[in-house]
Amino acid sequence: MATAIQEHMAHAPGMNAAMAHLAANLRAATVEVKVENLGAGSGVIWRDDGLIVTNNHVVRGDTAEIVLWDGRTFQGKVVDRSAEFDLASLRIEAHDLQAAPIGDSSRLRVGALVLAMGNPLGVKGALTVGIVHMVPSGRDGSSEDRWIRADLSLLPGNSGGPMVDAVGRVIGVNSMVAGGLALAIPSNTVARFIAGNAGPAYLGVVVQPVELSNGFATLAARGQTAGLMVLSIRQDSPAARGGLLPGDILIHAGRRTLAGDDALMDVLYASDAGTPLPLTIIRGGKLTEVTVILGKREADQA
Amino acid sequence: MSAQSETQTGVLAGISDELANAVEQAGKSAVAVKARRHVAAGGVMWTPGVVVTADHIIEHEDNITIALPNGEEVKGTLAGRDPGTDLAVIRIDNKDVPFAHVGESAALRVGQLVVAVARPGGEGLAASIGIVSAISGSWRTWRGGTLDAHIRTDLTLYPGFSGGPLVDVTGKVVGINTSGLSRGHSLAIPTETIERVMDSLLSHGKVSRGYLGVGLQPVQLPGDLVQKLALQQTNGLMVVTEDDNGPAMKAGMLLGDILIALGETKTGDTNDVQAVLGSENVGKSFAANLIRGGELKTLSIAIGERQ
Repeated sequence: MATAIQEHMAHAPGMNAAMAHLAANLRAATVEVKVENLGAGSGVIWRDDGLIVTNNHVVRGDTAEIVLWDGRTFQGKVVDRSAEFDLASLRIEAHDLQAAPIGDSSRLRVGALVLAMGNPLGVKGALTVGIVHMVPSGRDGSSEDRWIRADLSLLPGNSGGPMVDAVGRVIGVNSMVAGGLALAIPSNTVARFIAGNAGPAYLGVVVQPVELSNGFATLAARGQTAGLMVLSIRQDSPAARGGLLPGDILIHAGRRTLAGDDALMDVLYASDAGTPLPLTIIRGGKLTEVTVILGKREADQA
Repeated sequence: MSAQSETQTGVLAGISDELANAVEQAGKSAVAVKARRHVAAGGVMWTPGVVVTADHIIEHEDNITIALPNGEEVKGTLAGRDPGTDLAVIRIDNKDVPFAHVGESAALRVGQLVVAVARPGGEGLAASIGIVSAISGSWRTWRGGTLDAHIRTDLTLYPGFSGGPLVDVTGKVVGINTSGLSRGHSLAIPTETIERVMDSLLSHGKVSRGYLGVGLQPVQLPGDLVQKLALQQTNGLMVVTEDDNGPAMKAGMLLGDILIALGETKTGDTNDVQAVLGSENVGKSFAANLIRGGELKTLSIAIGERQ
């Protein structure tokens, strides 16, 4: 039985044409971002009214030069930035822009094709392809994570450019390379940023990973062997108002299993201030549920 | 979107879905092997209750934990390890874990898409993609074992990927990935090698190797000797050392003898002899054709087992 891949590979022109078609559309939605006349990185035309998204680390000042694929150049004014998300948005006064379609970053599967476009090492409109490397464990097959992690090659100059799925929808903004993997800010996080969230939501706890001994592992679903123990709770924080106590062991937050260090932070990066977050906890040896209303992180909070 | 462009985006979407399906399929029998500090390694549920992994990732034999696809962690018992082929076999009590759908490495072709799958950190699946870069024949590893084929891929083996499965686009396991046999390169241990070594490790706890008990040095045979003896070869192996009571000595071989054939195999260099010393020949007798004092002689030698 021939698989779809075998069929398409056998008709190589089909796949090549598909790639070329995707690249052409993506190129039109990708911009070059220049600071002081030097190429600083890439960006994505997020809306065709002139909203451009790139990384915060690509744009230092209040303005940057935005160069479109067709050569048109505009001065972009920074509208908003978030150091925590590593995102910045700019506005350009332009017409006839082709924005990229935006996808849902929480539905990616391990192994799915992803493609990145940008201006690596000064080369314009370069395309690279790879697969989704890993998605964090969620209970219903969806994933909210701080990063999209891809087995894909990114180079300096790719920062701020789009990462798309196999049908050309933007599912991330390329941010950096770590351990050989490409990390992109999820498109759902970008949407959150554009809607006014400056950074991750705020809970107000200090936690420490603990191994679930005393038979606690059987309380958590699927043989989870670690959780996050609440060491302290900030005064007047969402955690305090929600009734969390020191000693509580957080097992799940929303759909996400809290088995590692970064898991809670990942959830906060993917959540909006003012929304409820259901937490499954072990308190006094018993499994129970607590829902907190997440807050906004103030400038002076850790 | 035009009909043509819809079809075009469908091509990539179809490929993307197939890759994600292949990973999901492979994930059902992909386990994590915790046998060293820090990073868990990959492993494959090969048959019920039997996990195959890379030998080099095992640092503490007595404390092995296997993380199963369903999240459960179970104790593993080392059945045997073969550094020569960088394979190890671990038994677990649980016989209900789905075992791998295994293909044949012999069917792989250069340029074919392959995916490596692992559970770094012991839980969630991770994947890495590449193609088969090169395939050549039987290959002796630097640790003294023999792989049935030398299969190179260009994918990245991230931490935790050694010992895990290499799969084709249908999710069939076509090898086990390792970074431990070739400095800086990822190799796939062929399925044929895995089956052979696994059988040996499960039955005997080790892979036996043939042993002759001689040190052999390749020598070129003088032209007139080749002519006089009507030989079909110009090289032989001279006995330069001999172990006391080894198979060669017991067979009556002497220092200075030049071995020119072992059974059906002409012996021009030491690789030729190694080829006859596989585990399948331990205990068997072979005719050793040699030149002694300028004359041909045949002895019968029983292949011993390397201790």
